[in-house]
Amino acid sequence: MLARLAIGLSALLWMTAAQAQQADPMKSEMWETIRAEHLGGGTIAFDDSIRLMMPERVETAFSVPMVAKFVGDLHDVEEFVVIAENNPIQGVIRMTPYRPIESVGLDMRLEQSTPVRAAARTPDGVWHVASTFVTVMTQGGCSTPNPEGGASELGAIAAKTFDRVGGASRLKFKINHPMDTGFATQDDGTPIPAYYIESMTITDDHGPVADLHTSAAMASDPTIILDLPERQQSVKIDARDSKGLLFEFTSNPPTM
Amino acid sequence: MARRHLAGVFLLSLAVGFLPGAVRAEAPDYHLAPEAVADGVYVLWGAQDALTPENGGAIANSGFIVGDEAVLAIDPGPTALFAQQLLDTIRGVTELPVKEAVVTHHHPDHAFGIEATVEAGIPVLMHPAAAKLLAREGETLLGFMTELVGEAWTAGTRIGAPTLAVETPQTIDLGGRAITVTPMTGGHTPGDLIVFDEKTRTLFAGDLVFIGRAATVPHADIPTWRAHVAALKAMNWRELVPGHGPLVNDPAMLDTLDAYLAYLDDFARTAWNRGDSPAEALMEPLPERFRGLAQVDVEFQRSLLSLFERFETHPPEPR
Ligand SMILES: [Zn+2]
Repeated sequence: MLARLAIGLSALLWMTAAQAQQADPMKSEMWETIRAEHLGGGTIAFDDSIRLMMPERVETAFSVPMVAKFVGDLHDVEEFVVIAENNPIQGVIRMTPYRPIESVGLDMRLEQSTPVRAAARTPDGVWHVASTFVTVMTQGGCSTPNPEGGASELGAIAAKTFDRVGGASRLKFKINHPMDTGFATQDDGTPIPAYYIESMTITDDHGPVADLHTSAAMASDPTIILDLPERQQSVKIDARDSKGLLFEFTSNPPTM
Repeated sequence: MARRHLAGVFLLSLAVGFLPGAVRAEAPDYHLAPEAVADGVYVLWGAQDALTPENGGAIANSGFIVGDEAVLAIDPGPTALFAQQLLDTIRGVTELPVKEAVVTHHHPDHAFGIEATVEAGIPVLMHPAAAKLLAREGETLLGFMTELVGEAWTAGTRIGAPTLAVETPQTIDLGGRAITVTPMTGGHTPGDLIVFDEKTRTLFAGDLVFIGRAATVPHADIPTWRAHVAALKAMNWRELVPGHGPLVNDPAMLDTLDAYLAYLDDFARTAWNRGDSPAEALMEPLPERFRGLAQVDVEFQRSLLSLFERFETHPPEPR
């Protein structure tokens, strides 16, 4: 402990001012591993480019909402990831946007109290990282069976668009899927195998919007939010789950 | 982290108790101190706090009313231990038997003493909708309670069932003292009861009234609750014992509760209808006038999450 502290201190002394900004604001011991595994060891900027919004404290953690808002000039994002550090499945989503996106929202599972990271990579290769800490009162968002949900058809997608302030448009959709992690068992001890949506593609009348690679760290029946700077006329969502089932949603073309 | 650590300490102390010759860990004590708020009407004030290992879950108000021949207990509290200590406390005040106990609703801070009360041979009255919710959610909620306050407090607590259903107003005769138990349902929860002592015009309003603490809405229908608050204000009581908070002697003291419920309802609907995620809605600062309420940060967040969850299946009317 003392030795580690000493190394930490001397390392700090040798840092330049610019490097000092890279210190993890969450002071997580796992950060370097997370960075290597999920961000390819890339350059990190803990800056204000992303506003990460989550509840500070949740009772159960089967479905914890998150919104990441790209602020300022961070519109040229090549890749966006969300990581829940203390989860058995850390990577929640990996998104490739094809157009400027203003906000991304989703519901995730948290196994226990954890730092959550939202990271966006810009064309210069820098990962802009926002962090927050969520306290989970009752553990097991990944390892206990889903609370009983709606009886809707597997893969059914309900979508709605909203006009947002500043002319932006919000696509909000919910897809019915158990998103089973593979870490939960039924009451009789039978394991519940992993079964989840693996990928989604979103397209509108201007062309492709984004590809999403999703994991079972997303909540069951998750709601996903995407804000685009311009109004959308029609939206198509294609999803594929880990059994290879395909689900599709197409909004009605506007009747003017 | 602190909570985990405390749970560990409790487990350790239990383990020590089983060692031969070791000093057995002492059971915790609620140190119940009844206050007479009117002639023969006693209240045990709960802490205006979250469920913690310090308070053992005693965060709601309980009470009892002493007649010429018998006693009525109100809300046997968060654990079996609380219910037993409540009965001991009553015995310290009067030798008269406890005829019945009323449970105002199914929430853990009020209802987890049911089983211990029934075991003590006392009939327990509850609304059937509350009994149903307790049967359905009790085990999960007891898990929460144990996690938050520690096993030392909840040891021996089991989810019990009430013995008598109250669906229409009933009068309980304590000897020279008539107590009316009236359902006031579908507001705070689907199965709330209020208890009125005619003699002193004292009303036990259960969790239909929170004073100085943020209300809890996970089982609530807010418009109905507000209608009940208006009805309660107009009733002929002299003093009102809320489920949480100090004694009420002026109907205007219920105005903050009503304003908070109205704000919460309107805020949640508006945020939902503009497409907000609850994560975003939670970032908006709370109006100044509610910031002084105990537990408001935690409860507002909890309330908003539960209202949004309900909107998923029952979208609110646009205003
Ligand atoms: Zn209560």
